[in-house]
Parts: sequence; structure tokens; C-alpha cells
Amino acid sequence: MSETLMRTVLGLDPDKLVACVSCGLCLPHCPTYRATEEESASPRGRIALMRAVEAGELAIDEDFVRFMERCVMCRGCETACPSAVQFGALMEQTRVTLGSQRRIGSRWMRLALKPLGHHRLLLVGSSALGVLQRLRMIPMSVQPRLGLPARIPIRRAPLGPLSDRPTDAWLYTGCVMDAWQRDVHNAALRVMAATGANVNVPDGQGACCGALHVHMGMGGDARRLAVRTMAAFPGDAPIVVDSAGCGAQLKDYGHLLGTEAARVFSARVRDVGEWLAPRMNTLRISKRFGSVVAIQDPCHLRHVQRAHLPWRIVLSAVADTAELDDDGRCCGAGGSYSITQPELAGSIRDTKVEAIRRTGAPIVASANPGCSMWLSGAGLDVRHPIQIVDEVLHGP
Amino acid sequence: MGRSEDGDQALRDRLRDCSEALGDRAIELLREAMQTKDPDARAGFAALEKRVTRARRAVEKAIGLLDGD
Repeated sequence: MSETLMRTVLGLDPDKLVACVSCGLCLPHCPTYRATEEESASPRGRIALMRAVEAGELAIDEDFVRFMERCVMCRGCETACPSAVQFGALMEQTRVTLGSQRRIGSRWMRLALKPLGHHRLLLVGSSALGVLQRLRMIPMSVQPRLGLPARIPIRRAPLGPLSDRPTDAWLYTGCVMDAWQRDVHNAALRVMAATGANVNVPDGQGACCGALHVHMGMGGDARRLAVRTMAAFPGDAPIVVDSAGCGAQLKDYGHLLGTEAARVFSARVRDVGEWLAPRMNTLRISKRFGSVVAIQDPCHLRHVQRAHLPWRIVLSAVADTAELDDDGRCCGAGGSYSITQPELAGSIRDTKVEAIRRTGAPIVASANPGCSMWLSGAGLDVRHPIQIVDEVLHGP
Repeated sequence: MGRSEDGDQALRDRLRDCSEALGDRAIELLREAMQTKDPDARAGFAALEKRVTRARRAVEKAIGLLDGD
């Protein structure tokens, strides 16, 4: 970090901060602005507040913290911005500063994120939670508040098929997704193997990518997890990710750690749709999926990775698809956002659900576990697109 | 382009200027709200900003109607 950045209150890069000309073209693309109609919940409003703090015109008070916490960090504004303002980087740095002062994220939330870096503990804890859920010892009213899926798996099938030959590609399995959605990983492994690739997962399986820690302003924890994750994937084989949020975080390690090794690592990362699209001709597809599939682009795939188009190539080869008419707006899941800002997240989800229902498709494809669980909570049948490909290839 | 179409275009341009001015006013009100420490005054600015934003939306709707959207 340069001396200039060290001297400022929030540690923001002044060049990034002045890039916003407050034109307002971001406004229709910001889910929180649309829900509240308040400038304090808009990208340009938040940047104006960051500038005021940096200029010493505004103290960091409760309102400022609240306005920063209300951002879902979907980065839809970046795609719309004609000045290429790096809003995500500004918001992440602001949260890291506020997090270092213990001003954002409750103590409970910080504690809840700690086990994510200890995979075996996480799996055991998750299974225990599953048992409590079956015994109805977790009140139904509390479960959505905690971001729990309707049925937490107690047992999980082993990851596979894995190859004993030299690795052509790694599958990144992550933390919570491995505990709650291992069936998606196994669908990805089956489809990847069907292309003829030798696929493996790292020893000790999941290493948390640190995305939720970044959202919570826990920069130190995020960096520690990034170093561990990088060490788990030796060699130069591509690292394939079936969670858009994790993929976006892994692709950002170059920026997070600022090292050449991290940049090289990030360059190896591919969303599974990106990896699969050029290999579709290697698959033997003899039938099509039975229902029309609405494609929901996770923000971290569309706005951050900008890798949503390969899924059109993949899905159109196996199913009839329907596009949403909402220009890729956020569903409100936002990592832990649906837990920390339930009302706003619920309002954003309602708008998304309306857009999905307008397509008339009975199935929704979403390439991010957070979006998938959050939209399932609204009564939709949501699947990972790789599960749809897997079902066409290998049956239900 | 006839005189009537010229007039419509001029009207749309004026409405776009109004929309921009209302947008600028909204962001000014946010700055003013944050500069005061009095919570009641802050709430007053926020309510005014919301009204200004609604007015801007109404103007944008009018532009859309003139555009035939």
C-alpha cells in the first residue's frame, strides 16, 4: 500500500475515488437504490460519502456505516458505468477499514465465519446442524434468518469420479458448498470426466476462498485463506469452480495479495461454464432436458467475472432456455447479505422472483450456491446448470 | 422533420435536463444530510431527497411516454 493510501481515513485509492462523475447511469442497475429510492443506497451516493470522509468533511458515524453495510456488493453498477469506476474495490477497501475498527459485522457473524477455514470441523458441525434440523430443534422461523437450506445434508456421497492420472483440471470444492451442495460438485466431476479430462480435488478437499470474509471487512482472514487455498492447487492445471462467488474471489487473489504467484494462480481459475463451453463437442448428447430452463446470472458471474455467456452455449446444447428481462439484476443473496440485511434482501428477491416467473419456465438455472439457496427459499425449483447437463448425460 | 416533431424533441430535451437537475439535487441533499449532526434535520433531508427522486422518476416516465415506450 502506498504512503498516500496509508494517510487517508478509509485507505482508498484517490484515482479510483475521483473517477465517479455522479452521472447517475448506475442508478437503474443498483438493486438497493431501486428498493429504497435513496441516494445513500446508490453507488454514486456511497462514493460521495466515501469522498466526504476522505476529505475530512464527514466523520465515520453510525449512518455512514449503515449506508456502507446496505450495499449488496453485486457490482451491477460497474457494468453500467461509462467511467469504469471500480466500485467493488472502493467498497471492499472501505469495509476492510471499517472491519479493522470493528465497526461492521456483528461479533456473532465474525465468529460464524471462523469455522469456514477448518473444513473437517465445518462438515461435522454442518451434519450436527442437519440432525438438529430433523429433530425440529431449530425453529422454522429462525432458519431463513440463519441462511440455512431447507434440508441440510447429514451424510454426503464421496467426491467422484476422481482420476489417478496426471491432473488435467482441478475442481475447487470450497467450504459451505461442499457441506451443503456436494451433489453439485459430483455432477461437475461427472460432466468433466465425460469430456475425457482427468479431474482431481486437492487433499483435504475444501479450502475456503475468503469471499464472505472480504464482504465482512475481515481482510486479514481473507488473505490468510487465500494463501492456504493457493497452496492446495500445485502445478499449472486449470482450477475449475462451480460457485460463481468463490470463482470471483479466486480470480481476485492477484489483487488481494498483490504477488506474482497470486496473479499466476488467478489466471488459472475458470468458472465451470467457461471451462466446459469449448469442450461441449466432446460430449455425447443424445437427448434434451425435459423442461424450459430460465437462466439466472449470478452477479459474481455476470458483473465480476463477466463469464455468464459460456453458460448460454452449454445450456442451449442440452435444453430450451429462457432469458430474464431484468438486465441481470441481483437476487439479493449477496453472500451473507440475506442474513445481515434480511428486509432489503427480501425486497430485492421479490423483484427477481417476478422476473423469473415472467419467463414461465418451471426450472431456474443458477451457477452460484448462495443465489440458488436464496431463490429456493422463495419456492422456486433452482438447480446448478451443471446439474442440468449431468441429468441429460447420465439421467436423473 | 416537421414543426410538431421539432417541438416534441425540444420538450424531451427539456425533460431530460429536468431529470438531470433533479438527480444532481438528490445527491446534493445527501451531502447536506450527512453534514448536519442533528438527527431530525438529517431525517428531513432524507425525506426531501426521496421526494426529489420520485419527481425524477416521474419525469423519466414522462420521457418514456413521449418516446412511445
